[in-house]
Amino acid sequence: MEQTQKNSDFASTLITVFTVQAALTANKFIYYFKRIPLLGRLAGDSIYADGSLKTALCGVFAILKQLMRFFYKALYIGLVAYLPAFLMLENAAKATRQGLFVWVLLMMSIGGAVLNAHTANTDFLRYTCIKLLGMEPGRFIYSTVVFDHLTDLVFFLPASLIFGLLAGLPLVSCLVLPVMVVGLHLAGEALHLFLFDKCGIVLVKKYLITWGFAGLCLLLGYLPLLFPGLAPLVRHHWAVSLPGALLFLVLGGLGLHYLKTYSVYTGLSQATTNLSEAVLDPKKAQSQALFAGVKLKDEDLRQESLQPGRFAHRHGFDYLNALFFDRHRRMVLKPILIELAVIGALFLLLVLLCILSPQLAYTGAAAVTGILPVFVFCMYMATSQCERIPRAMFYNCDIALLRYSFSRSRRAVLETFRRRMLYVGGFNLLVGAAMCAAVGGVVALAGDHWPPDQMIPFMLSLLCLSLFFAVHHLFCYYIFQPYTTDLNMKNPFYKLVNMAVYLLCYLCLQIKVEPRGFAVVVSLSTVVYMTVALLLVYRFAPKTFRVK
Amino acid sequence: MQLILQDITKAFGEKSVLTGASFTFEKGKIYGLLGRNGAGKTTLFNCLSGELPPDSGAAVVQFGDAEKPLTPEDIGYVFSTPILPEFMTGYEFLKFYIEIHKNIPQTASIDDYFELVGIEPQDRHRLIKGYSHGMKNKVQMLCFLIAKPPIILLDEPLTSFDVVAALEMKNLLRDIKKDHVIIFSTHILQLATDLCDEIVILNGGALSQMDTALLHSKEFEEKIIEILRDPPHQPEAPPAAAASPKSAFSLRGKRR
Repeated sequence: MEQTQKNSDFASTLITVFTVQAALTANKFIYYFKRIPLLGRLAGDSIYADGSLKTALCGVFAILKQLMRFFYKALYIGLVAYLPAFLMLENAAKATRQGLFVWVLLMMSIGGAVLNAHTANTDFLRYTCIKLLGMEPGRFIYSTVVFDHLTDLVFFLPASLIFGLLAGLPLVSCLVLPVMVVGLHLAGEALHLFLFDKCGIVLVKKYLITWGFAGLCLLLGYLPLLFPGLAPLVRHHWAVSLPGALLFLVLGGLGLHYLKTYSVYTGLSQATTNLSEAVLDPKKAQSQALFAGVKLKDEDLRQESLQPGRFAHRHGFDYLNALFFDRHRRMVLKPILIELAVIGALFLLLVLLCILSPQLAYTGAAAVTGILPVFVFCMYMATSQCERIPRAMFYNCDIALLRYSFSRSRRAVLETFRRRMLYVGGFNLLVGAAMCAAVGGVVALAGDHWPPDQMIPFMLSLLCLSLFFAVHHLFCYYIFQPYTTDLNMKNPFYKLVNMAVYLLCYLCLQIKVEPRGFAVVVSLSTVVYMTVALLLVYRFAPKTFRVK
Repeated sequence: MQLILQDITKAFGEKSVLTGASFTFEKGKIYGLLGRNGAGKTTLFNCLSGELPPDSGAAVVQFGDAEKPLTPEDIGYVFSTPILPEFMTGYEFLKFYIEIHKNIPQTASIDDYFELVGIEPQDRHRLIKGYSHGMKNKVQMLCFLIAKPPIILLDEPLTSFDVVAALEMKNLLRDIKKDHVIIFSTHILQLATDLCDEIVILNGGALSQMDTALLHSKEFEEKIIEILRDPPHQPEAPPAAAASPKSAFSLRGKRR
């Protein structure tokens, strides 16, 4: 009687959990669907309440999700065990490779059982069901964990059969593989529960132990691959023999029994289901993290910088910007100073080289003048603080000021842009000029003759590049203004344009071209880009530069 | 001077928030804007201040016979959550703010302004980052004393003030009201009866005015609750019908 009751509890709990999960998934899908340009308009707000549509969506997602589990298991077995065993040990005997295939899976399953415990999972579904909907923790954890592991038997089966038979294992052994994996995982769950019950330890949170153990298992698993001499040791694939099957069945059965009779689920749930914001709203946590680096710290605000009368001779937006850059020296000026110091140090090293080994220096100097593409990427890296400056501007200044109508006026937007451009562009030019001086100085000291028709385009292109990165980041900020008051990023173009620029700079590392031509192309294209960007800012920024 | 709203509508997706808000606000009066949570008070303010574009309708400012469209510069907006550039000190922000509005003659110095709202000398040169909610609100209030915009919108102000500060701010509003249209949204009925000359109800996306005679009567609270409990306005119905649900309220908003 009690057994029947438990079984019906198990089923009804699972149905409730699946319903909640399906609703969460369907709502999430609808939410993102509505945000697709044009297509999203097809769905009105009432769509959330459309029961039959949601049921259909839930059905589709449930089927897709289960199909994906087949795929993931196949990917796991294929990539983790089959490929290493059969590709890396091409010359080993077949039995050795079969043994290794099973051995790797065995070790991975033991490691996985300690590393992951579904019973101690902290995910949004568990949080919703237990904390928000008040479901009894024991019912939730037992039902979902047992369901997950038992169904794994089915989901592992096709992959085990395919890869097992490909490996030449007997059919029976292929059938034992899922039993091995699931049996070990269930025993692992029991171990986690036992440790919590007896010692109050939530093993999954002991990262050093779990990751250390899993790493050890990984090492043991792959050791015969690294040292093929060891491979014959694991060729007896006892794990998928009959005694092995029995062992794993017993382990799994004991684990299952322990799960069923366990009485401290509520405590375990309390210890594990206190979710951080990062899990509940990963997007928000991500955006917070994005701005964490630009938050003002106490060290940025030395007492003297708060003295009354500081910059008193400046007025309006000039005053605002002077204060802004003064209090953001850590983010703006400090990186520039470090870069100048690095350029200076490299210069001194090269001067030393000129003195100690003039011949080497001469050869090196001749090469330096021909590797402008590398300098493009160096300049990208050197001016990377420019990417952070708009974030600081938004977080510490514009998010507030843009709420005031005076700062949204055309005059104000363009004036702040101009002043900021002067600051950031000026700093970047300093880096560009230092690079030019260093390269020119080293080449001259090394005694290489650098014809002016090559030197001037080279230096001009470096200066253009340094200015380009300043313009680029500010232009993107003013035209795409991607941040919202919630600190989310709304505009995908911002990321896309930035990625395109990074890719372009990275590709410059890969190309080999005639230096002077490249210098001319770089100078011209950056000048054209900057002109277009400034025109676009002038034309559109007063409309686009808004808090979303 | 009058602020005239003409059939302002605003919807978010399928949800209509403002369904034809029309009203005439006059200089020299403090208007209390009452409405339930989600009625659209902040949306209306955002539409007026240029933060959000309305879907349709217009707002104009009338000076005598001359009329001009309402621009964001006409508005001083005190947000319910004060928003100020936190990397500046209060003093620096006011200096900046005064310089930005240099075409507006100032009769007081920065320190006088701080004095006026009771921000102590030692706090004036501290970063706004470290200010309390109430202090930030005071700085926001100072903004409209400096910019002297004809129309002042206050989104649930005074709630973060202690009793002394609240009284000071109330007196301040009373002092300056002769030169401005002041509209403030609030949930605190006592504050509305205390300070306001007129009560405007935002219900069902439309504005209606409460009979001033009721403002200081015993039934005031009951009547307000009665009207706010009314079924939401139906967009298909003519706005006038929906906006005058009870005989105790007369729709005095001028429609144009």
